[in-house]
Amino acid sequence: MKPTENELREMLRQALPPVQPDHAVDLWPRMLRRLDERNTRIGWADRILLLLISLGLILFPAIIPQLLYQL
Amino acid sequence: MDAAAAVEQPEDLERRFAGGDLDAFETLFRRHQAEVLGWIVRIVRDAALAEDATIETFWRIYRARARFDPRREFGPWARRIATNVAIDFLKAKPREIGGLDVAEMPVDPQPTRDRSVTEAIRMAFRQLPAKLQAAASLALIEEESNAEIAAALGISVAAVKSRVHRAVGLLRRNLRRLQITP
Repeated sequence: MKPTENELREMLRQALPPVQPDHAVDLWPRMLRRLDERNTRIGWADRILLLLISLGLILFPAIIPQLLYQL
Repeated sequence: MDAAAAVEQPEDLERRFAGGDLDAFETLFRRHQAEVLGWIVRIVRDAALAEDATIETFWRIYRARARFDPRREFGPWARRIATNVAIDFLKAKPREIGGLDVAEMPVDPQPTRDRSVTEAIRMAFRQLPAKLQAAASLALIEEESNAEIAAALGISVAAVKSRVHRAVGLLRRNLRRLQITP
């Protein structure tokens, strides 16, 4: 027998009762950690750029004095 | 300075947040944390997962701050992001909450409304695709209005009805497979 929508609702409510989150928990310290974590993490694009620059300096050391002169 | 001027207008706070002010973000976080957590838990139906999803929601909010229009309300915007995060969490962790596949469940010839049946209903629900599960949870269990669900999901009311209808169809099929009747 096919359950009606109301019967289905009732079955679901019994099987999946409301979950009460703990509203007293202060999530801000976790949020701050998440912000710090992301701020200090080096992205893939930055890593690749760093690698390319390092490779460039190793393969063409002659550019180092020129770079220093520009600085 | 008179007292009225000393009280920060909500729009000022949201403007400061959009400009990247961390103190303004903290104020908004504390103001909306409970509401966001409460909304997410109604979708994912797991307190620990809801806390993780709340952090993820506010992280996405912080990242998107430059796109936020301070003339608009922060709450509905946050709720919409929270709904997307909750759906992403349902997609990423279905087995963590669910367990066995419906097709793998042993079929009880005379099922009764005991623990195993409750578990089977729960599992049948968790087998729904994440978007349908979110719509079904809000509409069938939480009895949120279609308009409210539509606003949170960023879809039309007709699309919400369609998702709930599809969810009901799939649930009936899964329950029939498990020989569970009301």
